[in-house]
Amino acid sequence: MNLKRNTLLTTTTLALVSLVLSSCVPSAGTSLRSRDSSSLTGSNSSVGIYQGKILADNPIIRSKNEELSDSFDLNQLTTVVTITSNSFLKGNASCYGLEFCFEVRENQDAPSALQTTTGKWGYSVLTPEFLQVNTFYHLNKVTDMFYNNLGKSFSLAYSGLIPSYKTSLPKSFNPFSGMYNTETNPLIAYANCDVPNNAYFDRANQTLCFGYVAGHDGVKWAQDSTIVYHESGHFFQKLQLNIRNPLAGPRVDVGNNYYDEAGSLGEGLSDYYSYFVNGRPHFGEWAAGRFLYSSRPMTEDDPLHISGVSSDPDQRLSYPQYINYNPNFPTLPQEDVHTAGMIVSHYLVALTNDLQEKCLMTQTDASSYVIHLLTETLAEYGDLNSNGIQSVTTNNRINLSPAHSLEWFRTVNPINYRTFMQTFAKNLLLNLGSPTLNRCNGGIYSKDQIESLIDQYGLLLFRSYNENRSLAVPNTATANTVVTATNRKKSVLISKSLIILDPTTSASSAYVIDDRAKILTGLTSLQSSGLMTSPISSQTPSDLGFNNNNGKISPGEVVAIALNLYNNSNSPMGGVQVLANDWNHADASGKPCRFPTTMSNDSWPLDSEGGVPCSTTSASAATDFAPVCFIQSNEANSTKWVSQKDFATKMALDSSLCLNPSDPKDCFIRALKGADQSNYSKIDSKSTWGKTLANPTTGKAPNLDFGNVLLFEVSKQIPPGTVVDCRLRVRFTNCEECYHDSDAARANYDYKDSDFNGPRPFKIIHLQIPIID
Amino acid sequence: MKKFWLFIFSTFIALGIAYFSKKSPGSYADNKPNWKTFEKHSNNTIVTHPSTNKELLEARIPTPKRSIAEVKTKPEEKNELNNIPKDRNYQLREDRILFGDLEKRDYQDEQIDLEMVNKVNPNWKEILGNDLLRFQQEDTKVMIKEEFPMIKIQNGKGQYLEQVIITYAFKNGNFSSFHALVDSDSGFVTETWDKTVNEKIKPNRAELTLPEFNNSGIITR
Repeated sequence: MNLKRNTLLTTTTLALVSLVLSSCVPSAGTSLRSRDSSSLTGSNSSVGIYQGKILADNPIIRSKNEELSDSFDLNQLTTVVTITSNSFLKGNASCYGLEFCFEVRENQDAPSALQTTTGKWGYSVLTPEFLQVNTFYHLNKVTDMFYNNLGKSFSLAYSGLIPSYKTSLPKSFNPFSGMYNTETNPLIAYANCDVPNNAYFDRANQTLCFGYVAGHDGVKWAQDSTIVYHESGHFFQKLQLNIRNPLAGPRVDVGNNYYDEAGSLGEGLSDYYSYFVNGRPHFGEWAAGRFLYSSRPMTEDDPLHISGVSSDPDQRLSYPQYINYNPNFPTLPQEDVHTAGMIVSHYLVALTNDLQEKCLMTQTDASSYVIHLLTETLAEYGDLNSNGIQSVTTNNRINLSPAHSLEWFRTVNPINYRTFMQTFAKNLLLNLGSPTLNRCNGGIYSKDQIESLIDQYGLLLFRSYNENRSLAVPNTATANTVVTATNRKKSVLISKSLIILDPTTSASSAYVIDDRAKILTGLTSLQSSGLMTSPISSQTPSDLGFNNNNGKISPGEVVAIALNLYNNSNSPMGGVQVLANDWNHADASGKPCRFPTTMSNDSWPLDSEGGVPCSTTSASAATDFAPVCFIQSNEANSTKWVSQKDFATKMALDSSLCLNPSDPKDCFIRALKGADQSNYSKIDSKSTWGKTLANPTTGKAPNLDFGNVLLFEVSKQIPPGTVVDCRLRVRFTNCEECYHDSDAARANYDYKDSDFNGPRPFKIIHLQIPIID
Repeated sequence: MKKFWLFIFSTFIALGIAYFSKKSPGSYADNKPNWKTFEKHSNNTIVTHPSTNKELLEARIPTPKRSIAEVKTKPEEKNELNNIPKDRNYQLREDRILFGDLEKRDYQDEQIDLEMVNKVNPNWKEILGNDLLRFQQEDTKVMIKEEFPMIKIQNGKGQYLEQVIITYAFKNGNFSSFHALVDSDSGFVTETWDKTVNEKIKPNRAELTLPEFNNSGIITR
């Protein structure tokens, strides 16, 4: 009995001990090597305690060989450095509420960060452990620099508790000395991800992932420190953009799955983070550059550039001329956020150099200052409470209002090259241009110097610094600083009237794509990437069975529509955007507005056609947001344009049969939210987008992407023969009247946010669509 | 000698228990009940279950134990509701975070009437899961994690919303994640953010060839 009891006791004890021990030691993933350094190569013999081996820069730079082979033994290029005294690869203690800000794991199968049992981190370059140590070292470096810089930002923004200027950084953001309440979970970096030709930042689950080069499986993105810095840059932008937003609740990001200027700016800023750490104005020479021809310079003097590009003021990488320029394939125009982002990365490096020269800063101090200005700029833009800066009590200064801010930030007035540069310039002026702060070597970095460099990049596209945004009133305490017009030498502003539909004889003015498989691909892509924020009606079959691929718009279809826009000016247009979202172009009863000619170019519809005069563009009540499409109704003696709700009433259609049964306002046709804007990177002078991006050898236009089209859902209830009018709004970044309010009372200040709910900042283009069975 | 064999025997049992207890994949729901998987088997069949560890690993969602353990939880620094972070004083009503146009009234005071434009449907997550998979191919999975219940104030009215993380996992191994606000009644996504950023080299553009001509009958002006 005793023996039995002893056996039971011993077994139970051992089981418990084993369980306890096994829970203390992290469990094995798919690879034991990823877990425990004791089973590793003999590399540890050459490193000291807490030390490990890393590639201090990417292999191309370390070897000084631009044609380094993928079979080269990278162990020859490693350096011994201190990694961490922690027993796990976890780093940076600046995140309030978290033990560490980040950790590095081999991949998703590894349940925790790499652990050392010897205190050493020396591994052969060929091991996954090396990738983790290398990633950790560089991630730790850039994270330390970022948070240190955030501390500097606060000391620049505040003198004690008093703001030194109109800062966007809230005092409450830095309540705990040296710690920042920025995240609820640590960032997790997977150093050896199983994704080919890719690295990514999963913002929602807060993970970084560094893949490999297909066909060169030994070449890993994590071997290139510049890629670690770049991807981290996306993470830091998330923090910067959301400094003023709570950790719980909606937040903002830049860019989408397709081309847009916000996404381009995000990529350019991430490139700059690489420069911020290593001071070297080139990104991604190894994995991306050597084998995939995708490295990117950040200065015009880089030998990768074509001969016409140099740091001469007249040969900068200027906007919008170089928006489609890829120095790796300079003759082939490319619409891509990474290459389009080079304009801002070049500007920021040029500014860093200029600050060194004019303000006698070191490169480290100058780039640190630039990161501070980026923090201010992004924090202001991202504010979903609509203040943007401290000391503003009325929350209607930016992004319209707290209830609509996400929509304004994302669609109605998103960050683009113009708006970003305007706010960045404002922060530069408030900081280094301030005669009270005298932060430029005891003096100022002058307004002319600010404007001159921005102009060299074609980006002096604003007329005022817009300090007070929607709250600005000329000649009062909330007046804006005006740009000196004579400093605008290279930047070209084009009248919105010069964007037209292709006037070429026999040219199509719009394209319709209703191929079932293609539209289905687009829908699934938009939905799974998080772009689509409205449901498809339950009356639309999940196989899009009504789509018949006849190039016409029929009841029950989901269709893509692209405008064939034409630039009728003598300069290239950049950042062309077509909007089909709801806007204030109907009165409270839903009748279509006819705006005065001072507000809109369309003078539509006449009173006899059902129009009512309107002149306000408020953006608060639900009735201020009318669907983009009206319907032609055949009355007894005339035809009139009526709201979809009125048309449904006339048809005696029960609202349960509308696309949205709970809201008949877009009963018959609607632009799908999230696919209600299309973007075109550039349209050359006297050309179309298709011709601008055509392959110069074949003359063939590129395929449209889903970012280039609008998606409309058509009700199966709409009678064939019905005519629909969709009143689209078009603008572009270097547009004269799309951002400046020419109204004398506003003195060329920017439009107020609510103005973007109306026609004035846009060229209005109508699509009159016959519904054909 | 008997004791020796007893020790060996019990050690093996103990090790066996330890091994199998670690090897068993278990359900993620054990420690993260908010994750739920919806899987499309066919156009008519979508099955749902608490997300397994394997599914979340495949979608590269970090295992939660370590992350949770690392949070220096200080109960006094957390709001009571669903671990709402203490970065600021959140306004709450009906145990939901308020956001939107909050300036006009103290919506936290539940004695003050607040007209709601929707209600809370207990099946909102099922509706959401089905809607997210409606157009997707077979064998696509979507995993949904509940984060915070919210109320958005707009034009003096409230809308019940749920903040979630949505992760798609595709048959080909690709995946995609984002944050979303979901209408608590209809189960439909109303806002999204935190979309994944890719460095994908030469991503495939959609095959939307520009048609040679327009026969749609569309008139533009």
